Amino acid sequence: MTDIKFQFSELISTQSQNPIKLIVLEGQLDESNIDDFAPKVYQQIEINPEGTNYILDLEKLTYLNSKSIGYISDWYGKISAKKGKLIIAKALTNIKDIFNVVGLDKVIPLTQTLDEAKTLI
Amino acid sequence: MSSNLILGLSILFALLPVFVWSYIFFDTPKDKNRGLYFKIFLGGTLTVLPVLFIQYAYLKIIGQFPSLDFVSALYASVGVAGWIAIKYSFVALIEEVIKFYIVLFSDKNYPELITNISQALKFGILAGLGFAFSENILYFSNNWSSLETSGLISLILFRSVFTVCAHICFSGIFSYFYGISKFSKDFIEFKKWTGQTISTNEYQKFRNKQIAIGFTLSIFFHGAFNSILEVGTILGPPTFNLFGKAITFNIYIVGVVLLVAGMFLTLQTLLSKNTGNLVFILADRYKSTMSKKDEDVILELMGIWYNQGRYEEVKSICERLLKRDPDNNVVKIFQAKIQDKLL
Repeated sequence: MTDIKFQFSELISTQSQNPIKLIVLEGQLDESNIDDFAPKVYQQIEINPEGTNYILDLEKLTYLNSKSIGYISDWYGKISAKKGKLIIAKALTNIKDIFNVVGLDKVIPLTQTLDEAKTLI
Repeated sequence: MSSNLILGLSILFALLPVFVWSYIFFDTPKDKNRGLYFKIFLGGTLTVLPVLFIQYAYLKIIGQFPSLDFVSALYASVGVAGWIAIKYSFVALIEEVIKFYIVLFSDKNYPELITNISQALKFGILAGLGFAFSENILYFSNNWSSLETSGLISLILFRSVFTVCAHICFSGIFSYFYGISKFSKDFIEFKKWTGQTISTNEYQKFRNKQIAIGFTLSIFFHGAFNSILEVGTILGPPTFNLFGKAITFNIYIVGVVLLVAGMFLTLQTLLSKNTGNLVFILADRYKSTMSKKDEDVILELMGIWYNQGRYEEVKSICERLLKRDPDNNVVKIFQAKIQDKLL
């Protein structure tokens, strides 16, 4: 199984009343680990209150497969349904390229920094 | 009328449908490849020779060795209908194989010319026109003296419209599948990304399958066309009793006309498909601005969404991906298949 490290934490923001959850990913998301990791995000979305926002920090994510993009698109749908926002921060150029071609950047904002992401919430 | 004059007139009348049908199918008279097109046409004219040679050789052989006359024995054992089916399937097989080799030879020597399936079809149509031209000369000159003027006009009209169109369709159908087989690699990639099973020697299998489909269809239609005409000639038009009145109606001609119309419409449908008009880049491709690994992620996602029927989304991805990788044939196939589905 390809190594993927992840960390869920809460971000403090003076600009937003609603909680912000930070999800930091490191490594590669592929066929061998995505189905184990994805339920953890779903669980977070499930247990967190309505209006919770999420920032995906992809600075150290070097690869993600098609299924992962499908999951991100689905998380976006579920978060939006709970009146929250999903922002992708610090993605590497190749990952941003993929989001751009797939068209995901049209619905999920991509930012260079975490501060920028926070201002969008 | 002298035999030379009959031959001259036969050539003239055989040329007329060639010009008319060429005008219908080839709307670019200033095409720089006209020289090659003419050579393919000429190649097509020669395809009547092997069948004539086989007939000549067979008659010559059984003239000297009557015991080798297996045709009479076969005729006796399978009956008229069986014999007609065998004879015309054999004739169709030989003629279509030779026409195929003309297309194949032309493509091998000028591979840059067939960049889409429709172009392959054009090669086939030319070979078919060439064949029909030669066959018409033989038919017109052989029947010129024995037929009355009205019969001769009917023969010329029927062969110019239906027989020539039929030959265009026979070769057009196999050329269409030859065109698909030429771009096997890209179609297999498309199959792979849409989750279809790919076997170990898929490339060869896919190629052979396409060529086999094309051949089977063209030989079947060619054999059926010739057989219906032959049966009609042997049995003559049947007489029907309609409200106490005897009406003679040539049902065989109707059958042939329907067959040709069906083939022509099929060919038109194949030609109008976006997949058929895809321009495949064979060489000197623009380099993609994305890495192959990243493109593969996108293609995999396109395959998943395509299977889920999310055509609009995949269509948008195709447009964006082609801006990054303009000569990606697999993306073009995705795009064309979706356009065909959204029609």
